[in-house]
Amino acid sequence: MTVWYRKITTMAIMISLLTVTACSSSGSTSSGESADHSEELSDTAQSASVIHLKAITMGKEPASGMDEFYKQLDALTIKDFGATLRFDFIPWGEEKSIIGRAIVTKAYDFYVGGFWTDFKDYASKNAFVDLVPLLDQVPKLVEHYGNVLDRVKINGKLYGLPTFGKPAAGSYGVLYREDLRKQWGLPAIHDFSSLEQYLYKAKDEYSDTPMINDKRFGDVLWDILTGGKYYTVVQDYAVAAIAEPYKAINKYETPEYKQMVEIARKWYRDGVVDHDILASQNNETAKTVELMKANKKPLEFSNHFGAVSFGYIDVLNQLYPEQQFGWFDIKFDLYPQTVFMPKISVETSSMISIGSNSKYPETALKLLEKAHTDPRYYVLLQYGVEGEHYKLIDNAVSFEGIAEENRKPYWTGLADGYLDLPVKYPDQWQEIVNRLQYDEGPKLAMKNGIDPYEGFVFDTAPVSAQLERMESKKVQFIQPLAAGVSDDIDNDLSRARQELKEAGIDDYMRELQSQLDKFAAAR
Amino acid sequence: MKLVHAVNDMSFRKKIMILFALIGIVPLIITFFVSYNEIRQLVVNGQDYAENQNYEQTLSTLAKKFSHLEELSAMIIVNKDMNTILSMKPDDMKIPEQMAAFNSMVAYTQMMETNSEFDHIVYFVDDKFIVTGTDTLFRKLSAVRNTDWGNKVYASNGASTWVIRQENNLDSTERYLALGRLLWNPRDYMDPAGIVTLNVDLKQIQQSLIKSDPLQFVYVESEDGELITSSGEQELAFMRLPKPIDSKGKFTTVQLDSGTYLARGQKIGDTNLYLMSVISHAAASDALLSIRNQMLTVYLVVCIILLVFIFPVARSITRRIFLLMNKMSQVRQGRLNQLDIEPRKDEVGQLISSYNYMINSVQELMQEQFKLGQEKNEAELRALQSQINPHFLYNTLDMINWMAQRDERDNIQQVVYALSDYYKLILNKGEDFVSLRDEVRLSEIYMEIQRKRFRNRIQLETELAEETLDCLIPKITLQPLVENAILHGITEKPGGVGVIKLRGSIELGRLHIAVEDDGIGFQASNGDNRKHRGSGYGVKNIEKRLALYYGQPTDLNFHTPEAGGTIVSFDVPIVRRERMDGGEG
Repeated sequence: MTVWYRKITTMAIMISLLTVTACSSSGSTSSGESADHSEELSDTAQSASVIHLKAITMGKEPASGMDEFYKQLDALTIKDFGATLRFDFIPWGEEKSIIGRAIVTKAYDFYVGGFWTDFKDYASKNAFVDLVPLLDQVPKLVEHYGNVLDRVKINGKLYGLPTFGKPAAGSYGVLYREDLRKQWGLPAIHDFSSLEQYLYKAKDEYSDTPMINDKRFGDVLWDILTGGKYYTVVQDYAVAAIAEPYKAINKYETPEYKQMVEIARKWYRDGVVDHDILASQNNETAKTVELMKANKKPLEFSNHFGAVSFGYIDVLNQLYPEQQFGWFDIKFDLYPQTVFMPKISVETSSMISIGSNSKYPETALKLLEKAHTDPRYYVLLQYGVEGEHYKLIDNAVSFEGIAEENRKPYWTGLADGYLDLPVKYPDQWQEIVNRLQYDEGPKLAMKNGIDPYEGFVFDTAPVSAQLERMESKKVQFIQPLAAGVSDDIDNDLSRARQELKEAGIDDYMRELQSQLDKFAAAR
Repeated sequence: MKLVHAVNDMSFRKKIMILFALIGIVPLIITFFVSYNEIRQLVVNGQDYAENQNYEQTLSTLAKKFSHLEELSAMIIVNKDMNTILSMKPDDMKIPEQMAAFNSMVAYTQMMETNSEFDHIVYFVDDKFIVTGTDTLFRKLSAVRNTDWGNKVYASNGASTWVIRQENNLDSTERYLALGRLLWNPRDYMDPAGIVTLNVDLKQIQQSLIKSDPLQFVYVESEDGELITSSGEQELAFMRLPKPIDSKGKFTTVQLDSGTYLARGQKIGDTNLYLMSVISHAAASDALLSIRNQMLTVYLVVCIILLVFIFPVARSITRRIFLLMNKMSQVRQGRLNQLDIEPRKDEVGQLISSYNYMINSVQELMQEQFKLGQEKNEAELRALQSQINPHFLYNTLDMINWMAQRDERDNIQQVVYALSDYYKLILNKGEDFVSLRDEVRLSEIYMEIQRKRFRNRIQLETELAEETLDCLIPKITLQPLVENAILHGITEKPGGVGVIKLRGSIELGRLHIAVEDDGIGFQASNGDNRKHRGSGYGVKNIEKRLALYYGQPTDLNFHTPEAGGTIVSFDVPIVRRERMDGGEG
C-alpha cells in the first residue's frame, strides 16, 4: 500500500512539476536559446583566438571605468594584432616594491620602470625581453626612435623602450602658491634663500601641516644646493664636478653633503620637515595632493614638472580658481647651464619593458610600435577616451570639467614628445609651461647641447653584491641623515660613510670610474 | 434521502456529466492536494537546505578567512625583527638600528599585504620610535589608549580580537574590520609593547554575505553587539536581533517587533564575531504561495479543459437516448415516427433498432386496423345507403304505378328518364362520396320526379357558394332531407304548395349546408322534432353516415324560423377530391 501510494504520489508530483516548469518557463523559445547559445559559442571561439596582454602602470583607474576605453582599444588591437591589452593600475607610493613584486611574480607582459625602480637590476637579471633581435619586425619604431634606442642598451641589449622627449626644460622643482607669496610679501623665489623664506613662512601659516613630508626631499635639496657644482653621475651615490664630469666622486664624501644634511636637520628641527617623515611611504606625492586639495598645504617641495602639470594644476584650479601657482625649477631657474637636450638613458628615463615571461613578445613589441607611431593608439593610450577622460579644445587636451577621479593616468613610460598633444592649462600655468617647454626651455636645451653623460650606462653587474648591501645601508644610515633626523651629524655621517665602505662603495666607485673612463675615452 | 431522489430523478445526461466530472476532477483535486503537499515539503526542505547551505558556506568562508588572518597575525608576533623592535626601548635603539629593523618589517609587511584577504596592516608601537607616524605603517601606541577598539584589544589579554577601526583621512573616514592582537615584549610577556591590526575592508566582508533570498538579511556582529557589516541598511532597523544568538546549527523562529522571522546565528570560528542570518516568514511563504498559485492555475485550466470536453462527450453519448426518448414521447402523442440516425451496434444502437422495428410493426398493424375500419365503415355506409335506395325506389315505382293507372304515359316516361338519371348518378363510378354539385343534381332529379307527382306545386331552389360545389359529402345525403321537406313539410300544409331551398356555404373552415322549406314547420316542444319530419329513420341514417364518413359525430339541426317552414342544417369538415385521393392513395 505504501509503495503504491509513493508511486502514485511521485508520478503526480512529476506531472505537477513538469506542468509548473512548463508554465514558469513560458516565454523563452527554444529558437531564441539556440541563437543565444550559438552566439556564445561564436564569442568563445573568437576569444579563444585573441591574445590577451596585460600591463602594469601607475596611478588610479578612472572612477568612471574603462569600458569605453577598452572597447576603443580592442577595436584597434584586435583588428591589427588579434590581441587585447588590459591595464592594472597601482597607486604611487610604494611603486618600487609593487613593481618589483610584479616582475618577480611574472604577472604581466608589460612593465614600467626606470631610475625610480630597480630597472637596471632587473634587466641585468633577464627579467625583460631583449628587443634587439625583434627590431627588424618593427621598422617604423626603429625609424621613429632613430639612434636613441642605442642609448638605453645595456651591454648591447635593449630591455625596454624609453620615454621620448623633445628638447625642453622642466625637471624637478618646487610647486608653490604664487598668490600667497605675494600676499605674504615675500620675494620671488629665485634661489635657495628665497625658497627657504617661503618654506618657513608657509610653515608658520600652516602650522598643522609639515611642508615637507616626502623622505626623498634630500635629493631635491642636494640638487638645489649643488646643482651648479656637481652633475649627478649615478643617482644616490656618485656625482662629478661640472668641471670634471668624468671623475666620479662619492656623494657622501663631499663637504656639500654634510651641509645639505645640516640644512635638512635644521628644517626637521624647525618643523618644516614632518617629524614622522621616516615613517612615511617612499613616495608621498599622493598625500601632498590631498593636503593641497584640502587647502592645508601651499607647496609641493619635490616633484617633477610634468607630474605637477598633470596631477596638480587642473585639480587645484577646479577647486580653487583663485589660487595661483609658481614653479621653481632647479635646473631652469637655478642652474640653466645644466639644461641639456633630453637625456635618454636607463639612469634617467622611464621605460616600458616586455617581461621575459610574456608568451607574445613580438605582438607586444608591435603594439608598442603602434603606440609610438600611430596617433590613434598614442592619444587613446595616453589621454583615454575623449569626452570621458579628457576634452579636446582647439586641438589641445583639456581637463576642464573632467572630475579628477575620472581622468585616466598616462601609460607610465609611454610619453613621446613627438606625439603628445598640447595640453591646455589655466592661463597663468600655461605661461610657465610655454616658457619651459615651448619657448625658452627648448632654446636653452639646444644651446647647451647634449648631456655629458648621454649614452652612458653604468653596468652594475660587476658590483651587484656591493650595490645590494649599499642599498640596505643607504636606507639604514643615509635616509635618516638625508631627512634631517640626526642628533649628531658628524658621528652619524661618519658611521654612514663607514657602513657604505664596508658595504663596498669603494668597489662600486672604482667600477664606475672605470666605466666612465671608457665612456669618456670613447666619447 | 431527498438527494438520492434528486439524483435518481436527474437526467441521464446530467448524471453522465456529473459522473465524468467526478471521475476527471476529483482525482485532479486529490492529486493537487497530494502534489502540493509534497512539493511544499520539497520546497520547504529545499529552502531550509539552501538557507543552511548558504549560511554554512558564508560561515565557512569567513571562518577560513579569519582563521588565516589570525595565523598571519601569529606570524607577525613571532617575527624576529618585530621581536627586536618590541624588545628594545626606543631610547636604547639608535636610529640606524631602528631603520634596519623597521625596514625589514616594512618589507615583510608588504609581502604579507599581497594577501588579498585583507586591506592593510597597521602596527602601533612606542611613540618614541622614529618611524612612527599618524597615518603610516607604524603608528604611535598612545593613539590607541583611549579608543574603544584599543580597550577591547587590551582587554582580550593577547587573544585575537575582531574590532571596528576607523581611519580618518583628510576628507573621509574609512571603517575597517580589524583583527587586533597585543604584541608582547619578548623579554617580558606581561608587557604589552604594541598592537598589530590586520584591517579588512568592510566591503569585502559585505560581499561575502551571500543571501539565498532577496528578503534575507545577513550581518556580522561582535559578541558584545557591535555591528560589523550587513547585507543591507534598511533591514537593520527591523530585522536585526537585539543580540547575537547561537541557534545550534539551524534556523529557529524568533519574534521581533516587526514580525516573526527565522534566524540562525553562530560564532565565526574561534572569533568574537557572530554570523547572523534572518529571513522573514513572508520570504518563505512567498515562494510557496507562488508555487501554489501556479499549480492552482494549471489545475484550474486542466479542470476547465476537462469540463469543456465532458459536455460534448456526455452529449454525444446521451444524444441518441434523448432522440429515442423524444420519439417515444411523440408516440404518446400518436405520432409514430422511426428514429432515422446512423445505425450503431452498441446497446443504444440496438435499442434504437428495436424501437424502429417496434414502430414499424405498430404502423403496419395500425394501417391494417385502419383498413379494416375503413372497410367496416364503407360496408356500414353502403348498408345505410342501401336502406335509403329501396325506399326511394319503392315510392317512385309507386308513383309510376299510379301514373300508369291514370295513363299518364308522358309523365311515366319523364319519371323513368329521371329515375334513370338518378341511378346513373348514384351508380356513377360506384363511389360512395360525391361532390356537392352532384348531390344537388341528384336532389334536382329527385325533384323532377316529385314535381310529376305533385303537379309542380313544389319548387326546388339552390343557393350554393361556388367554393362549396367541389366539397365531397356522402351520396344521398340531401335527397332524403328534400324528400322529408316535401312529405312532412310542404305537403302537410294546406294547398301543398311550397319551395325548398338548398343553401351551401363555407364558414370557419367547415362546410355549412341547410335545407329550407316553407312547409308547416315542426313543433319542438317535446324536443323530438324527428316525429314531425318523417319516420326519423332517414335522419338517423344520414347522421350515422356523416359520422362514419367524417369520423366525428354530426347532428342535423332542425328549427323553424318565425316566418314558418323548417330549416335542417349541418356542418361538416371540408373534404375535397384531392384529399380523398391522397387519403386513398
